[in-house]
Amino acid sequence: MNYFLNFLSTTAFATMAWENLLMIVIGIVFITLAIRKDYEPLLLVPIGFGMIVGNIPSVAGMALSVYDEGSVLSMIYFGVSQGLFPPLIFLGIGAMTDFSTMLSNPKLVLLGAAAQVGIFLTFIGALYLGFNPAESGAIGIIGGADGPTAIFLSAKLAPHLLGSIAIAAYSYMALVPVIQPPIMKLLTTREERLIRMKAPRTVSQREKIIFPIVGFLIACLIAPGAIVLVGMLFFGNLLKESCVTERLANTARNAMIDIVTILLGFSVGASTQAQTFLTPQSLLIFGLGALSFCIATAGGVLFAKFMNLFLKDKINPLVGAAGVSAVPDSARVVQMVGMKEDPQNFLLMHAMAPNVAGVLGSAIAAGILWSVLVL
Amino acid sequence: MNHFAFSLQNVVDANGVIISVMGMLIVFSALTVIALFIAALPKLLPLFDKILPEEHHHHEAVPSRPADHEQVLAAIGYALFRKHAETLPAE
Repeated sequence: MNYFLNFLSTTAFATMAWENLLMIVIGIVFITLAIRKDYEPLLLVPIGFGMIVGNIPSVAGMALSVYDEGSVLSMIYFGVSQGLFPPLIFLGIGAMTDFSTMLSNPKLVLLGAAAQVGIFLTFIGALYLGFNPAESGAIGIIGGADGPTAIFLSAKLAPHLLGSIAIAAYSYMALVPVIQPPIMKLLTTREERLIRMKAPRTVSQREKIIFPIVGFLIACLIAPGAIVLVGMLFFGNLLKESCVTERLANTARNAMIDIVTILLGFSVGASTQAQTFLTPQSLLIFGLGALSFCIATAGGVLFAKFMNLFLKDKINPLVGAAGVSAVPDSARVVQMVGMKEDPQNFLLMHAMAPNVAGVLGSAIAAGILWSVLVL
Repeated sequence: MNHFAFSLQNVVDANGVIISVMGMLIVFSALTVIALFIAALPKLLPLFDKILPEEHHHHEAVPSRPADHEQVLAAIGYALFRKHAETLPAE
């Protein structure tokens, strides 16, 4: 009988707190959003299920959770906490990215830079709210709209906020189709949304091969802190474009990125134990994250309008919203909003240029914040 | 973090504005240099061609010849004709 009573005291029913239940419900909401609404299912399903797993209370003396030394989950989480998974995801992204649209219209690269204003204004906002500089840098990077970059930087600068930052970054990435359109419409006139852009030129294979090498050298000589993320991004792209490592490129963009996404999503979800996640800090992080997304979107759109003051061939300012690096979702949103005004205006190709430039910009911004705030 | 210690002094103490302005400038400079390089790339290509002339090697996909297409189309057409002829009732 004693054994049975002992066993009963170890069941999760006995130790479950209402906070854990709330997190389990949030996990189920994530899974529901992914399945019913198709919001970033590849991320929200692993994260949502990870949240459910991570909020089953641990049994004393048993290494079960991501925070218990020696547990299986902690070994998987090692890839997150040490910043191993994000560069591997960047390798896969590089192997699936086609820089042609960016190479054919280089001025659109600047929109990818302008959208990074969200990162730095949020950094100031987080400082104002009382976060320390390292924490503020990690929170600010949510505005880059790039999950792997956010995880990488928070693992380096503020590991204790990693769960909240990762969940905020991925949630807002999933909500790009909801967050961006109102801002885009608010900041543009109908005439601007109707602007048709010139078709991009054909880019030679030689340009595509040279670009990842020189692009890496330029970016990392200016901001060496970006070596890991930008290096893996361009390495993956070189595997794709060189035409001689097709097998490696295929593995990087298919099997490898899928495996890493599963491990990363699941372990980040499992790290959101209510006791560490449900804090006033997390609420502030979510608020700042939403704000940074809005600022980043507005930054891109407004900079496109500013560039139009000087350009003969006008840019459709909607394209600026794709400067936040949620690839390819923000580019798809640009296409969707543009087509609502003119069903024959295809902006997707043009939007991919600031979109991939945004990935580059946020990785560079992460490198800068890392090198400035860690020293 | 000092819980809810909202103050502009936090920003001043941490040099928040300086770091942000500097960060934006570095991101802009890096991407501007990249954009300038991309813009110059088509003009630099002839130079690259002189140093490293383009070679066609075994890794490139072999373009299919029109003659092949014609033969394949003729074969498919003949096979379809035969199949169709078999299913038709004898006249």
